[in-house]
Amino acid sequence: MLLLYCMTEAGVDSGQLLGVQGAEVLSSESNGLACHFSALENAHSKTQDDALAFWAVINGLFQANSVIPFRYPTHMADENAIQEFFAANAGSYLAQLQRIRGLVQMKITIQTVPSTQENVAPTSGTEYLKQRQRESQSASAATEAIKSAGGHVVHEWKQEQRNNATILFAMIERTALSKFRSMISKTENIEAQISVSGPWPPSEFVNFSPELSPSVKND
Amino acid sequence: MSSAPQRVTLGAGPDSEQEVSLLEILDHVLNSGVVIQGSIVISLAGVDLVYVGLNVVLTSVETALKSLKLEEAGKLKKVPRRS
Repeated sequence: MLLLYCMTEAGVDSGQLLGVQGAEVLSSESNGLACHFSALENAHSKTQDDALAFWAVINGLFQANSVIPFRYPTHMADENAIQEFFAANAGSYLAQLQRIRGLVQMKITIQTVPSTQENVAPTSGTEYLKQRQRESQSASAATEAIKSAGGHVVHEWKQEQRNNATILFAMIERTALSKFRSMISKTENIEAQISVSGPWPPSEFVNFSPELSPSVKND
Repeated sequence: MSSAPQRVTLGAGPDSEQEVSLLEILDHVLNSGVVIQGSIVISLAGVDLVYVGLNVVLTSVETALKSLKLEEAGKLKKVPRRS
């Protein structure tokens, strides 16, 4: 069973990387694309160490290349399946790789911080709703401030709400990383806790769902 | 060239830059990345047995087949649903 790491443009060497469970990282190339994978003896073991080793391979390739990672764990039966996958999806992958070439993703987490007077639990429904409204306004203001601060270097923004936090994803040039960090760190008057992480592969900005062939028969 | 991802917390002082947490890496690995859409029909002896719609990850057909065989042999008991 093959564990797939990511797709890159052809010609990217992954030979020096160590894969999940210490397996060799192999590449299969076709149509200008390369798929990086490992053949695993125990494909069903999914430990934390395996997930971290998976990330290490992607991060290793991402240091000098544009990558489109697969979600962990994505398996295919053999190299023939990868070739069929190439044939069906090469055009879309190449278009996406060209679109994200030289770009990285930064993740900005905005979490509102209750003011000292709001540290006590609200005693009525009205008070609770007012508190929620203030938090929501703080989050919106912080989001706008961040977007405005980083606006010059950001190619594209994405925003989502997750567990009472607003998450912003910014796609920026790899070469503009320090400029972006510096601009964001100068944002002032924000009543929220902001943490910025990255660079990550721009997975949030890859807008397609590749498909398998309609059915696989296992007789 | 970039290095490994770093995390910076604004307003936490100049030394706030640190490596991203294990949780953040795992969150990225498990929640980001391309998801393959597709479907498989598992068949044994020419008879279609199971249709599986896939929209998360491709898991092993071998495991599914193994489960089916165990179920057929009565080794895998189904848990009755609560009413």
